[in-house]
Amino acid sequence: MNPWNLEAYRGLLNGYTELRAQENRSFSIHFLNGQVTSNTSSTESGISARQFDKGSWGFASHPQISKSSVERVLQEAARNAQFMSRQSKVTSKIAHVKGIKSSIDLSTKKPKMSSSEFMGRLKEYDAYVAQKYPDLASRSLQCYQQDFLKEGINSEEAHTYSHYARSYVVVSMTLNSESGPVQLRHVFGGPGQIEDTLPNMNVFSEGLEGLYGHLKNKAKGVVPDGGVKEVILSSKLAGILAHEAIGHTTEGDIVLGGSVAGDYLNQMVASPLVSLVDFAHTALGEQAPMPVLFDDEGTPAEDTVIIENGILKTYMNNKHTAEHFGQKATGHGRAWGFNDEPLVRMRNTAILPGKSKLDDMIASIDDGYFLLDHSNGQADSTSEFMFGMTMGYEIKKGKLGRALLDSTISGVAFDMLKSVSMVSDEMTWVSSGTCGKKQPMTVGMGGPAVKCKIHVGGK
Amino acid sequence: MEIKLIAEKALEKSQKAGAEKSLVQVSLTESKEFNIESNKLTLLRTTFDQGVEVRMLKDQRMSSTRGNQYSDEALSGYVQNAYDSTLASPQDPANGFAPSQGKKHFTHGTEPANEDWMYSKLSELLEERSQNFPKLIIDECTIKFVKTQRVLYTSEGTQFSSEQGSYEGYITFTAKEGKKSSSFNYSSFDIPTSAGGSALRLTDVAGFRDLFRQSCEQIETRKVPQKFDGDLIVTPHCLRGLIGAWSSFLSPGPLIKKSSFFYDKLNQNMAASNFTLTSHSLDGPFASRQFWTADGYLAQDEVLFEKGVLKSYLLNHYGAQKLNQPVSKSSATYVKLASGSSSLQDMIGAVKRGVLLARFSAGMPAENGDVSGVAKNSYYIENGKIQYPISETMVSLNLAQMLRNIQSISKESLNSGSWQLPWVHFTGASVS
Repeated sequence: MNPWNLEAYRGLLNGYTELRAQENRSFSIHFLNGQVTSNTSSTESGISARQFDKGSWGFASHPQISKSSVERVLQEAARNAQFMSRQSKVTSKIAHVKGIKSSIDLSTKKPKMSSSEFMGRLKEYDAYVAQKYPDLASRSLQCYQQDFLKEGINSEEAHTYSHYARSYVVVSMTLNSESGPVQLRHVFGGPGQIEDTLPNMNVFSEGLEGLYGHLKNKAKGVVPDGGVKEVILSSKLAGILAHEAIGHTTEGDIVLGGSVAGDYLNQMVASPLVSLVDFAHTALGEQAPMPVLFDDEGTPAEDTVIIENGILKTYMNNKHTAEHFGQKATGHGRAWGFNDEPLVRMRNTAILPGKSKLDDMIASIDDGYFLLDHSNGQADSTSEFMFGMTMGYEIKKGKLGRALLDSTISGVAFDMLKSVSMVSDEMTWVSSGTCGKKQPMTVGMGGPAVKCKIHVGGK
Repeated sequence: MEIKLIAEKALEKSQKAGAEKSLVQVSLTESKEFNIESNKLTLLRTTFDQGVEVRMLKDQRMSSTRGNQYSDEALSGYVQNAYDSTLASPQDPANGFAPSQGKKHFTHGTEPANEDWMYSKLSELLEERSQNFPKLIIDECTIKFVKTQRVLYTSEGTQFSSEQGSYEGYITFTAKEGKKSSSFNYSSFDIPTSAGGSALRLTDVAGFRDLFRQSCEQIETRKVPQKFDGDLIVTPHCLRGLIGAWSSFLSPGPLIKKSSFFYDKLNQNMAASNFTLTSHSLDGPFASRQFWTADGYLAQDEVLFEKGVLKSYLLNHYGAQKLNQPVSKSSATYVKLASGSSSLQDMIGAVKRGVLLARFSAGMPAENGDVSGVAKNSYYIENGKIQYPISETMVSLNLAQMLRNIQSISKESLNSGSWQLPWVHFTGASVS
């Protein structure tokens, strides 16, 4: 597919040049206690060009996609690249990769829902929560969808088209408790548009039943005892561990920026039980939550095995960092909007499942925590990471105990991963969040439950 | 193209489509951005952006649609989308936006981009790094000149227009020696267009020179000796994040849910008596201005806390109607905390055991205000003296209690171009 027919402009590309037309669409509807507090939609489109000249980059973008604006951004990108190369005298190179010709389309094949039909479904969800859980202090329901349509060509013969889509319904419940209001949320949805991802009422009610049970427990929860503890990170948490603790630290541009991972290549950085892969599009025989067939540099996407049986094997690279490190470019150069340049980004980062059973893992802990769900997270060049923990339980003598109030967990990844002593045989993917760098980015995160030692915030 | 004509056209289409009231915003932005990556000037970006927002009200149902195309066909599409979504939305008497605010034109930062100056400032930054901080890696740095024209028109008669420019950017940096790295640190800066061509160094803004020096010290870190309850001296950079957290509890969502610890506390003592926090939309020592709110109200500077008393929530039109409170005319984007009378040196000297907290890498605060996070780029304090840079240290606190636990505020402050903040001494933190 070539909706913007960029092939017609191939003759205008000089030196190493990328040309990308893009349209991002989104909508979001937010219910708070049954009333719609926001109902917004957005469409942003435009054209951009990026040119490389003797170690420097020039970039230009324009919101109109037309022959004159294509010519304009190509000229401006070339002028910017030449200005920088004249001034800065940087002489680095980029990897040459034969460009891919490929396409992917995650848009729905079902009839599109009308606004009123869609709003009716959301009202039905909200009414169910109100009727089923009358003791909630408040409830909120947010539905959002994001679509990313891109057509790209480059001077290394690439021509790509992609329509990525993801959509979610997020339900938050709040109960009042002696320690103040406590909140939990459940996310329904994944890759695809709402016609494919809106849950039926059975799935919706089952998901909320588990959520409400945890929330009732959390209302009687306790503040964790702060310090380094033996814990089980649930399979839902392993993804953010893979993303924050290791993923960011091994992004090629972060390694160039001083990440400690720069000194650990081919060294043992984790327990032999730990293998970590950034999957391109297919993981363990199934479509990954954010399937990437090619990146915005026109590079075919391949799986990147970052840690294999505890040994750090490679970094994640764009064309520039691949050339710098002498590694293969495997499709990590991704841009968020039409006016953004590709950066080194993760796709679907996951710890691979092991052989242990979750029940055995819990039974093996005398005094520790079972941590179930998370909020935000942050990585560091030292590999010290943190993420918010929103649901968990004490483990006492191998049995689950009292629920925990919100806390934060942290560790130094290359120390903490060596403490991993059991890895479960499950696999859970999470994909609703947005990774933050210079630009936001859609990513998938996954993994099994992991037994390890980690720093838990508390009193 | 004249953006006022686009706004008039979109407004007319919205009213013709059946809206009872409409609000339209149109923007046109040009920017030029130089980028450093890993100590090298690597990228120059030129971007042109457009924006259109159509907000529609009918039978107290409301929705909004945004796009970035000016064509007649695109405007009709935005209006049709807004109309369909509006009709599908539930009725709510709180929906709406500002009544007529009259016609006003604003300008700020009208000097043109000085690209040679921007390039020279980054070259100067790299040279200063090389000479004075050779262990430091400037991982990312941008300096961007942004010039934006905006208009906001409503069916009620409001006609606002503005032209504004500023330089803005950020620096992310890490120090590295051998196999050891410091935690990365970062901050943003905003510079008025009037400073273009001046001798101002980027390291003079927002205390970057001290942050660079500290990063080089933080290659070697230690854990705190033991778990303890103690004090925090929070730096201006870190304080900006905490003000963001307090602001979120002043916003409509938590207040409408009644889950915010600020709910029903207007005009009550919520902080120590030396805490006066103001939000500056139109006037202040900052590079940019916010001339109007998203709901079409003429912006004003506002006092959020005065001598510890909560004076204003941060309510949009909808939140104000729901809570029967005044609409906030500012958004706490540009904030200033009144300086105190203590010297930073004396404040540190008063701490028996605590942390100089320079960056707080924290989870989302719980609804009761409890929050914990990792102390980054921070120092252990004991017996009134800074002892050493720390790592693997978790700080737990309560955001509501923290405001009451302010002991002193420094007379020194930093200005990033979008905030002016001092150092603040808090008690009552758990450190592990």
